[in-house]
Amino acid sequence: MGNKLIAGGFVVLVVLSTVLAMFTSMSFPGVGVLNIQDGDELSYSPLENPEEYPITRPLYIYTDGVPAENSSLYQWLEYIYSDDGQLYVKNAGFYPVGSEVKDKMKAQLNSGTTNDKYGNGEITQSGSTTLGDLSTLWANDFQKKYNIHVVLNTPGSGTGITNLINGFVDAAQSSREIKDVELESAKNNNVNVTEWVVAYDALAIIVHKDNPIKNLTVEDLKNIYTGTYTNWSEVGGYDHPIVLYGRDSASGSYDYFKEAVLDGESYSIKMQQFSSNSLIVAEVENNLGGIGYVGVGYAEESLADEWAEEQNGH
Amino acid sequence: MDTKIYKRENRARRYAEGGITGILGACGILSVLILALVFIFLITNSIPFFQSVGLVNFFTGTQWDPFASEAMWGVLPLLTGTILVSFVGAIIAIPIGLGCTIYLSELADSKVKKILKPAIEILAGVPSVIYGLFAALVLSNWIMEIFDPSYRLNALNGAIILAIMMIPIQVSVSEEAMNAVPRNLREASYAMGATRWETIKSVIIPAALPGIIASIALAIGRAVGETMAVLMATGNASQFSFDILTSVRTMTAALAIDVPEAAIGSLQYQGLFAVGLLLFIITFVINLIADMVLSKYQETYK
Repeated sequence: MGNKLIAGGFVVLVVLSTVLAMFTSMSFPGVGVLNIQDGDELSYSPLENPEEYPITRPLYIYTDGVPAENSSLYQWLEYIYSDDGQLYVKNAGFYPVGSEVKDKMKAQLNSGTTNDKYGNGEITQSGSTTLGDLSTLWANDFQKKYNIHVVLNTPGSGTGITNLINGFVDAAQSSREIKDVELESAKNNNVNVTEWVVAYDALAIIVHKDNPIKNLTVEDLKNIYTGTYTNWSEVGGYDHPIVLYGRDSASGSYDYFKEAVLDGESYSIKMQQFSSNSLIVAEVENNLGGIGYVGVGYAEESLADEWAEEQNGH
Repeated sequence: MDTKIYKRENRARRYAEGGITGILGACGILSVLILALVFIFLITNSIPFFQSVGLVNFFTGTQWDPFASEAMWGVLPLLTGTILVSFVGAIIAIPIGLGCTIYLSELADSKVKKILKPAIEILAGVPSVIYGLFAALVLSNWIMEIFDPSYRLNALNGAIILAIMMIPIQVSVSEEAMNAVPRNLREASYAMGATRWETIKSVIIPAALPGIIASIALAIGRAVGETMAVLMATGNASQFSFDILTSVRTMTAALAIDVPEAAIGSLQYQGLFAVGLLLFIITFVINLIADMVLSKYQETYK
């Protein structure tokens, strides 16, 4: 018994020194955020010119039909399009929907019930990790105002939509549009997929803070991510290999970036795939040759001081 | 009268014991049944995949991308990823584990042994995600400083962390085998004038060799099946490469990431079952080898 204790103490000591080693060997120097160049002179930063920034996508919630007017899900959607709801969109680092889209969505919400199966109890919603923080903000405020609990989980957009199709959840949150294949299997499962645009998100391109590259064209990005360019010197930078970081196949960002930037071509097999935005930030921070794409909120949070100063200096 | 009561009691006891034997037997059969069902489940779900994609495509393709517009079904990058990580891990783990075993069973005095042994057992019980975290955050930086690879998360990182996870399994099984070598063999060796080292080298290790080999096979089996730690450590890029300093994706990582994304019944879903089947067969064969070595070559001393 006493020996077990000594051994336990020994292990605890090892664990403690490991944790200490972790903290001393980790560093958070921050990342740089690239501008996307469009033509010879114009370049857009996702932080400064969100309206013109080309790699911007809508974020969605998908439901099975339009919920009945007195159901919790109806109130949830109504809340999301309210001023309070859209204020949180800004707080979470995204862009609110424009008035035109908002009116369209509200009209859809009041176009008449197509699904009266949604009840008054708690709501379950599953999907995009990018929307995770925002949904949590919404859910907490919604709980306070309407006293309805929203259960969230964030396994990725694809999984969320699959969950909706299989009838496991009331709603799916997604950072990409639903695919035709998914619509088809939804039809087979008698799920009438209804789309709600709830916010917009820019995908920021992040690099190591000491990388001298400040601008890339979408064409450059395509060549980098398909593996045509493998060295930073090919886009006018250091002679240093490019190391690709991206999201895994369950992610909506993975699909969106592939469609919007790679024109549907496959990612280079050398791209390392991660399950979250923050893991990509952590890798790019520590790799001089690294490049990654993350939601603009994550990039802004971890912008290196030098880059932040430069942005303000403009 | 007395004898009758005695008989009745006896019969009741017999029934009770028979019932217990039945229940315990059912438990035993259940585990075999589950194994068989898992195997059947994997096969039935992957057969349609092999019919439409073909065995040749699956085993010779060098690209794995089931969700591309033109899906690629080559399992080679995943297979080499798994093999690279587990076998390099084994190469690191075997000498350390062997040294540790010899020290523990032959050289350490009982006080040290009483502390070291439970410590190793606790090491075996640490959740793999903790090892993964350590590999991703600490070990990777050390490797970065020594080898300066362009991938911070790479196969070597995964191999080292797997080696750390393999050592406790190897040590606990092979130490038992060494302890099972009877005392009179050692004494006979010493009586012949052999030194302690000669005794270990020429008597104890050969006698315990089947057990040691089995322990290594078991440890490799564990490494092949490990998911979380390697997923976090190896960087997860499915490239076909034997370079120890690049990112790789193992079969287990591919399953963990892609399964939730695949619609049930789709080709992707069946393809992942095919990977699962291959993984199952590999670990099954490794365990079978361990078992055969143990039962065939283990000498019994009475």
